[in-house]
Parts: sequence; C-alpha cells; structure tokens
Amino acid sequence: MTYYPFVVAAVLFVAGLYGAITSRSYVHLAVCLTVMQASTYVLLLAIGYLRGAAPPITQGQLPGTRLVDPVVQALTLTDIVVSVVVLALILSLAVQAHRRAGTVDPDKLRRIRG
Amino acid sequence: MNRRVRLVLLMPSLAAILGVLLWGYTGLPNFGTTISSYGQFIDRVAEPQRHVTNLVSAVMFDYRGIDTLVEEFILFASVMGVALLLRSSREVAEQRPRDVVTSDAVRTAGSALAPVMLLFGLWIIAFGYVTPGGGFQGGVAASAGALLLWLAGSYRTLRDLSPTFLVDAAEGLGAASYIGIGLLGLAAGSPFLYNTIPLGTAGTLASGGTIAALNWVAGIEVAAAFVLIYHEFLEEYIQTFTYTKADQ
Amino acid sequence: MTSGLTAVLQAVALTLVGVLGVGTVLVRDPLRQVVVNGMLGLSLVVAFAVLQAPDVAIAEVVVSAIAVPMVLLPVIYKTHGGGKG
Repeated sequence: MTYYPFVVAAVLFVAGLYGAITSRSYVHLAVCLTVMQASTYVLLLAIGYLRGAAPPITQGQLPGTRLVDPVVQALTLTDIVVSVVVLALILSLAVQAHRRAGTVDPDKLRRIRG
Repeated sequence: MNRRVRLVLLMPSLAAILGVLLWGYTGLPNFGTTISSYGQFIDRVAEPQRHVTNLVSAVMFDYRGIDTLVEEFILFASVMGVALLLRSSREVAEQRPRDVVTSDAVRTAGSALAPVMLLFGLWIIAFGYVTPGGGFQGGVAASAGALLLWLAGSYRTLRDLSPTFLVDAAEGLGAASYIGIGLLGLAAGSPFLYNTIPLGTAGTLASGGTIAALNWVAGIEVAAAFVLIYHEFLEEYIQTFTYTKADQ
Repeated sequence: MTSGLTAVLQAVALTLVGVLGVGTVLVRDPLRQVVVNGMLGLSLVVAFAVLQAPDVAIAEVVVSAIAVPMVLLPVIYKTHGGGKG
C-alpha cells in the first residue's frame, strides 16, 4: 500500500499513451488522452494524502485535526473542468477533419495533401 | 512504416517509460506519510486569515488566484475555438429540425428536473466556500439544467430558452469580472487579486471577501461556457438528423 | 481497525480505476468506449472520495456524467456514420 497509487498512476499513463499511439479513430484518441489525464489526478491526490487525516474543510471539525493537502486538490479540480473544454476543442478538430476528408482515421488522414 | 513495424518499435519504448515512471515514483515519500510544507501551512492559517471553512476554495481563489485566472482564460479561449471551428463551414439547414419528443414521461420528468438541476447548481456555487463545492463544479451542474431542456423538448426549445447573445454576454462578463475584482485590489493599493473586501465570519455565507465574489464569477462563466459548447455540439447532431429526415 | 478498512477501500477503488482505465483503452469502438469511460469516471469519484477529496469528487461526478458524454456522443454520431443505417 505504500506505492500502490503510484503504480496505478504509472499504469494508467502508459495505457493511455499506448491507446493514443495505436488508435484508429480521433475520437478514440481523445478518450485515451482523458485516461492519461486521470493518471495525473490520481498521482496528485496520492501525493497530497495523509493517513488518518480529514478532508480540508474546517466546517464542523475540531480545531487542530490534521487535514490533507488542499493545494493539490485545487490544482486537480480546475484541471478536471478545463480538460473537458479542451476535449471539446479536440473533438471539433475531428469534426472538421471529417468534413474535409470524410474520415477520422489518423493513418488515412496523413496521406491527404493540399 | 506500416502498423506492424510501429507496434514492434512501440513496446520496448512503452516498457522503458513505465520503468522510468515507476523508478521516479518510488523516490516520493511513502503514500500517506507526509504532505508538503505549503499544504501544512495553509491548513493552519487559512481559516484565521481568510475566514473561510473550505480551504480548497481559499487556495483556488485567493492564495493561487492567478492560476485560476489563467485556467479561466484557457476555458474562454477553448470555447471560442470550438465556436469558430464548428460554425465556420457548417452547411445551412434547409428544413427546420424535427426532433420533438413524443414520450410524455420524458417530457414531464425533463421539465420538472430542469429547474431543480439549475437550482442545485446554484446551491453548489453559493455554498462553495463553506462546504465542499465551488464555482467550477456548480457551473457544470447548472449547465445540466439547460441540457435537460433539450431532453424534455426540442432543439428549438433549448435555443429559445437560452439565447446565444445572453449566454455569450454572461461568459464574457464572467471572465471580465474576474479581472475587475483583481483590479479592485490594485485600486486599494495592494497587489493584484488581493483580498480587499471586508472578511466576515467563517462558516456563514458572508465570509471570505473576494473569495465569495470570485466564486460566483467563476461559476457563471463556467456555466455559460458549457451551455455554449452544448449548443455547438447539439447543432452538429441536429444537422445530421435534419439531412436524414429530409431525404425521406 | 478503521485505518485498515480505509486502506482496503482505497486499494479496491484504485484497482478498479486501473482496470477500467486499461479497459477504456482496449475498447476500439468509440460508442462502447463512452460507456466504459463513464464507468471509469464513476470509479474515479469513489477513489477521490476515499482519498479525502470531496471537492474533486464533486467536480469529477458532474464532469464525467454530464459533460463528457454530451460532448462525445454528437461527434461519434456525425463521424461514424450515424443515422444512415
């Protein structure tokens, strides 16, 4: 349990990378990028965790209880919401490629010139 | 090079990346033993200094407010990119879309739940600096209310009830107000985004100073941005739908 | 006793995240991938909640249940020949 979240984060990263490289559709590639981002969320929250500590909300808690790290939670939080909008941008690129070339296969799109 | 060669070359590199990642991660402190000293400092002083009980909101809108400003601008620019890309070469629909919902259960449940979802999103934004929640989460939840309008009615209902100019204005106003509140700090002789409004008592809605204001501004901007994105993508879907219906 | 239970919960949630993440990558059809991605989002919510991060869990639940399928499904419909078969 001392290294387990880090192992999960590394496996997620490499799995997402494999899926992104060997993908046959831009939509599948975008979701694999989402999996890679999930690996960074797990890593950040695992770094900020303290055993036996409470969430970083002091409402209704005794003063002096140990809390987990709020800085990494703030980083992860904005990242989750902004990543969806960037996913929308990537997918609109895929729609545009489909309009121009009729396909969203990365291998076939590479050969279209001009 | 074809796919087979690419796959054969890929596996050792992925294994090497996995090895380097694992070797690096084992250099970190053991899971659950310690947190960074910045985190410990904020846990200790955030509530007396800023009078808020949700420390994540305090970090997001006060201690690291500039990072949230940059993230909001990423959001703004991405929505602008989506609108530019999808509106530029869209074919004009020759016929009004006919995606009216015929199931009474869907229509009733959707119209009953749309204001509930909007209210729920606004509640998450409002209590964002007191209990878990915040502007970003509540903004997405409030945009789900607009989505339920499309589920309950037709695409025309969605466009009529969330007019584009209003949503555009709300998004721009949200992004500009964030900077405006930051400039308030400059006007008061303090650094940009400094907390210059009087702080209240921790644990109530009147607390936090600029944290409360930035919370609302971020929530409005995120909700408007997501409604714009839904408009664009639903228009893609309705376009496809229109052409197949017109062919019959 | 409670710390042992928390550790078991964390191990189960993280294992589920890992398995579903690998599963999302191995599913090739984008439409089926949306379903597995939704399950990955749900397991991430449980993992975040057990790692004592309620704000992050709320963000992940609204995003992965509302925004991500809503953005993916029209594009899949349009680019993978929806409605014409």
